[in-house]
Amino acid sequence: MDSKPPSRDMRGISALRDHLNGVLLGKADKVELVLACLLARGHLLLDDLPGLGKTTLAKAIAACLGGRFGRIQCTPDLLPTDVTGFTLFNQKTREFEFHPGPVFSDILLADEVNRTTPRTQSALFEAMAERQVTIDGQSRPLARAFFVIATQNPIDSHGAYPLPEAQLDRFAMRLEIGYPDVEAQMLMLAAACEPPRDMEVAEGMLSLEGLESLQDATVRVRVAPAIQQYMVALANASRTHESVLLGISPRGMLIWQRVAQGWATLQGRDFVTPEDVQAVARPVLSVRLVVRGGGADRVIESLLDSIPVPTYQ
Amino acid sequence: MPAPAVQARRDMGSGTMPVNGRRRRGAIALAVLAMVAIYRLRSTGEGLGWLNLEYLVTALIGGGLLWLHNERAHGVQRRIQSIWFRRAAGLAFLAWPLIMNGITRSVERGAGAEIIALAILAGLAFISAAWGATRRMIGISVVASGFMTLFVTCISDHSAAIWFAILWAAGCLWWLITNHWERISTCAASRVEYQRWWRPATVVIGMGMALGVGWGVSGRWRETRGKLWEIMPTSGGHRWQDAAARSGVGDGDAVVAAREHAASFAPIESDLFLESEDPSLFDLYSDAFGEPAKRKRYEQAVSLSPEQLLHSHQRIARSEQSSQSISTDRKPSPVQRPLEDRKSLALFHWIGRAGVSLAVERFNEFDGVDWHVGSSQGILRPATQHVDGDRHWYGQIHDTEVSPFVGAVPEAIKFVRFRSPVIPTPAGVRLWHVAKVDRGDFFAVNADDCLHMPGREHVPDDTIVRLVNSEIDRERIDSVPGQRVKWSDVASIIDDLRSHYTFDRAADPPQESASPLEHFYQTRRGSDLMFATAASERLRALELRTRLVTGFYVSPERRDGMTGETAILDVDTHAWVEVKWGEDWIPLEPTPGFMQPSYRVSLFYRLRQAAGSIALALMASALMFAVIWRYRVGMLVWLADGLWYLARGLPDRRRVKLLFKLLELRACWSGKARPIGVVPRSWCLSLFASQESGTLTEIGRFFDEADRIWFGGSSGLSPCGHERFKQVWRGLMRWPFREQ
Repeated sequence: MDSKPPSRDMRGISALRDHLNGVLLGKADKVELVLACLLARGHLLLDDLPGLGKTTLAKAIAACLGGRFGRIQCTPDLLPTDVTGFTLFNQKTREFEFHPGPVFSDILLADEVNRTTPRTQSALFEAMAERQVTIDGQSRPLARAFFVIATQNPIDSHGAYPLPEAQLDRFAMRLEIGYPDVEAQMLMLAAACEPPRDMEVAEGMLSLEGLESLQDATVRVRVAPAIQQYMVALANASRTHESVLLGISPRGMLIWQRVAQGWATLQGRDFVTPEDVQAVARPVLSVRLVVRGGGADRVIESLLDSIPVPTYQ
Repeated sequence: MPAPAVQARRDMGSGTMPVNGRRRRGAIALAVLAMVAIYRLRSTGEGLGWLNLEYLVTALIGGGLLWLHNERAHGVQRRIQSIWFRRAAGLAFLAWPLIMNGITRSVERGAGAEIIALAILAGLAFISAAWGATRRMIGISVVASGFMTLFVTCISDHSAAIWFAILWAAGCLWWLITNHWERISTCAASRVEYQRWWRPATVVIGMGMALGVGWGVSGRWRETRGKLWEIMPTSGGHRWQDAAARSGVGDGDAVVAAREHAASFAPIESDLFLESEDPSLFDLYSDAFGEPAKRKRYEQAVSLSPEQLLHSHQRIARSEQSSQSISTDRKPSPVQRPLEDRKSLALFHWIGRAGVSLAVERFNEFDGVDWHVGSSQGILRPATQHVDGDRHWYGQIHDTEVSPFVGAVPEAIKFVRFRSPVIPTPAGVRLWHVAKVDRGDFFAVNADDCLHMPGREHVPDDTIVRLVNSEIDRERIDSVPGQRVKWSDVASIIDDLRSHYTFDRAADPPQESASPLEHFYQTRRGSDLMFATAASERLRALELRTRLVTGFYVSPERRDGMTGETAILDVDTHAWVEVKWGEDWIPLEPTPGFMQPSYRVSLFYRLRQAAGSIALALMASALMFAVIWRYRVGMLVWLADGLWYLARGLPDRRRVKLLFKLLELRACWSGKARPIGVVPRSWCLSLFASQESGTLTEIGRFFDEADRIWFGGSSGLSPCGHERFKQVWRGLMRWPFREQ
């Protein structure tokens, strides 16, 4: 089977990339990672300060893809049924009717996910992992392109419920968007002085069907044995690193490989190179490694520096 | 797949558990101790200069092996940790004693094969300790080093060797305790309290007990002495009198011990009682005399009465049942070993250097056909006496600062059958000694420097003469004052004869030949006498004094490697020449097939000679290397271009591999080696960051092509990829890395 994605879809993802770069100014590298996460059928955790464009990014993706967009504003009184949906007895029809929750959407934004109770978090994470929910004994599948963008605020931790490591492993990657540079901020201010306009979807933008096609193609991207050996060596090194309390799990390795495949697809290749593995290593590993005293990025750097990269030998 | 805990237990049981540093370091230390013990043993019998050189290189390679094994290696260390490099280094470490032995054998005497085997085994123990990935390998290393240390202690003549065994035992005990104490203590006790002093105290107590037992069984008490012999049965090899050793039964240690006894010196086949054709008790145990003959009963019963026959059968049956019968009636051996020494007219044994010539007669005057003894050679000079303890040594020590004869080499002769009053001695004999002889008039030195026993018909059989000989110092030959002729001229004459003439003992000149020497020059073939005569004549043409020497040649082919003894027969008669050099007569060996006299040569002298002879080659090499270094980049580019064309037949994948290795080598030479964690594309782009964007794009495409072949499963370069690949790659190779 040809692993090359259709050129129409590649043009669509390119248009999506351009659009997102227009929405999130000066963050092309972050946008690229978000798209790789999207192609890998992973879920994204945006971990950053308020007002840096997390919600804007999620809404822009949903708007471009044209799918159903759901949003949960996580609060302590949020119930699991508020996420998954519930069954209600209809007096007129004398039947139970299912009222789907926000998870039955294509793009789900879970804002301030660490503000809700662990019980509700678990309901969400189960849906993320299984891609289905079970209500009243009946399993209901979620959308094929189901993509969760969860945000959390690292400051103001009073009254928050930090996500446990096992739950964090459900996310494909964690991103910190960070402040835009000076030029991007100037552009933002200039755009704010213009009359507001609706978010327009450009011609040829990636459709939901196109996204699914790209996601299927991503699965077929070739990963050479040398690359897999390299990833295993890195994973083993992470488990024996003196500063690491919890290394990369086998599930984490699988997700890492899939995101690297997504990254390769974005570069127009049907094979993964060591560069792809390294390019996605930081966001993928930072959500999984539990490092003594913090500083996961430093540990990831030392891991990447210490393991020989497969070359042409 | 078993559970991790189960697997761990299996690993522990099978000895495949990974090795911790403490365990490895201890095993390495024990292996090094074994190597030092072997060094101590070898230092008594080999040249110290060569031995030190061997161990210095061994230490360097060993240090390199340990350095290579560092798991936290990085940079160059990481790069050369390839399995092939490690294999090559390990092989060099093991083969080095063998190589050095070959070198030392070519210039000196070298070491025995069993000693080299010990050194190689010690190397194996070291490598097993340094590189062993499992506990089992480390354990094998410790066992091997222990075996070698104890073995070396047993065979060493030096009493201090016991300290190696003691040190090893203490080290091994400490190693065992530090590595296995937890397992023992947690298995044996319900509650464990760790105390700091307990482990060293255990080592001290254990060593004390071991030393006490060792002291007890080391011959201090009569009872333990006997017990020790039972544990380690031997017919000799120790300083106590032993009947078996004195009679020379056995070999190995027995021969060593039996040297103290005249009748037992030298191999048993040549001993006197073998001269008799009658069977002796020894013959019953000798394979040379075959198995006992089994005769049929009726052959023995022909002349016996029935009563006597019955009685005889009963007696024989009882005897055979208790295995106490022995028959003197034996079948002839199917293969009789020829005992050529029994047929020889002359027979004596030499223990000492092989390849030397032992002088019996010296002739000064040559009339063109025959050699004659000079008129002054009938004068006997008495020997001077030197008493060393209870031994009386005789000799003529006339050391001068310019004499080329230096040093003292102990050697000995045992005469079995020799019908001459002259004691064959090599040139440079200084002292001699015969047991229980304390009379100076027992010996005399003739004017031709041959050692005599005046007033005797021949040297008595079974006489053992111990000699202290000297060696010829090559440097002193050059520094002898007053010589107008260079030693190199002398050497060239000898070399010419040895290389252009053929030795043939049967090539006698015809009777009608007026000058045998002329015949020798014409046919370029002759006996050793003709070689010596020709050499003498040529040397006399240089106005040097020479004399012909006849005697015996100690043939290396007949040397017994185990005992160091050589049987010398009448077929070993030989003639050679001596030249007067200063105040001394230096032997020369002009006959091919016979070893030239060995010279003592210092390493510095050898290096100086080598430097002189190869100075031009060194200068040329230095110039060549300078040119290569100056134009190394250009040459590398040429090489790369050439390789590109030569590698056209290779698959693209192999070409990419080859060329990328060259690129890495090029950068490594320029000090811009790629860090192991950096992908090639990023590394190259960072090197050429200052280039134009077009160049960087081309570099990116270059790596696109390489990635597609290596990671994308593509079978080859794209149609336009070949040219692009070549151009970009040549550009990379030409780039001055150092200036970046």
